[in-house]
Amino acid sequence: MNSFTTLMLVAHVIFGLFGVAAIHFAYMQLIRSHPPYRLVTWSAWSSVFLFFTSWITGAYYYVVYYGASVKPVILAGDYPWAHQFFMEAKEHVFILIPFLAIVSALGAHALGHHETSELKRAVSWTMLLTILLGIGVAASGILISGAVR
Amino acid sequence: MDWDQTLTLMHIIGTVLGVGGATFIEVYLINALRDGTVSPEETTIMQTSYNILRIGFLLLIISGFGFLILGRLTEHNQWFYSLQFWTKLAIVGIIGMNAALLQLHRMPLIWGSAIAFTSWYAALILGVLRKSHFPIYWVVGVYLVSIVIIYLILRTLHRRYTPHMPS
Repeated sequence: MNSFTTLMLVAHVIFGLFGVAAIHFAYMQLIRSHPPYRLVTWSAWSSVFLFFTSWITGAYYYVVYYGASVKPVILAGDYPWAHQFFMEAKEHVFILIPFLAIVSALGAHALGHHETSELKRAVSWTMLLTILLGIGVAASGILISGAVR
Repeated sequence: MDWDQTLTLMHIIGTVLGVGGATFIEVYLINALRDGTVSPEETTIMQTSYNILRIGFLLLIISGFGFLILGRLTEHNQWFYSLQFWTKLAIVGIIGMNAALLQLHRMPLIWGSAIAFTSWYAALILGVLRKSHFPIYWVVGVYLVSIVIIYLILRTLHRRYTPHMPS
C-alpha cells in the first residue's frame, strides 16, 4: 500500500469516527430537558461534513486498493465471511448514514425555530439510528481488517 | 516517541481521566445530595467532573481506533478477533449507552452509577490484563456480579448519607 492510499484509509477511519462522535454529541445535547439547538444543529452539520469526507476518502481506498489487493486475501483466508457478509453489508449501510445525518441536521435546525415534542422525538430517533449504524459500520470495519492475514 | 508509544500514552491518560472522573462523580454526588439540594457550586464541580470523564472517554476511543489502524497497517491484527477485546469494546459501548439512558431519565440513578463505575474499572482491568486469557463467560460473569455488588454498596451509602434523595 503506498503512502497516499494509507493516508486515505486512515482518513476514512478518523473522519468516520469523528462523524459518529459529532452526531453522538448532538444526540446527547438534544435529549437534555433544555437543548441548546444551535449547538445541536452545528454538531449535526459537522457530522454531515465528516461522514461525507469519510465517504470520499473511503471510496478512493476501496476502489483503488481494496478490491484488487485485500478482498482476494480475505476470501482465501480463514474468515471469508468478513467480506461476504460484513463488507457487503457495510458498503450498503454506509450509503445511508450521511443522509440520515442531513435529516438530523435539518430537523435540529427546524427545532431551533419551532420546538415540538413530536419533531424532537423523531430527530432524536434519527440521530440514535445514525449512531447505531455508525457503530455497526465501525465494528464491521474491525472484523474486515482483522480478516486480512 | 513512535505511534505505539503516543497511542499508549493517550490510552492511559484517557483511562485515568475516565476512571478518576467516574470515581469522583460518585463521591461528589453523595456529598452534594447529603442535604437534599444541589448548590450551584456543587453543580459546577459535578459538571467539571463529567467534562473530565467525557474527555477521558474521547481519548480512549480515539487512541483505541489508533491502535486498530496501527494494527491493520503493520499487520499485527490477530487481536482483532480476540473475545477479550470485543468484551472491552462492548463495555465501552455500555458506558456510552448508560450515559444516554441516564440523560433520558430511563435509568435509575444508583443503577446507572453502578454500571458506569463498574464499567470504567472493568475497561481498566481488561486493558491491564490484556495478555492474560480468561474464559469469556468468567469475564462477563464477574462484570455482572460486580455491577450488582457496586449497586448494593452505593444504595447502602445513599441510604445512609443521602436520605433526602428522590428515588
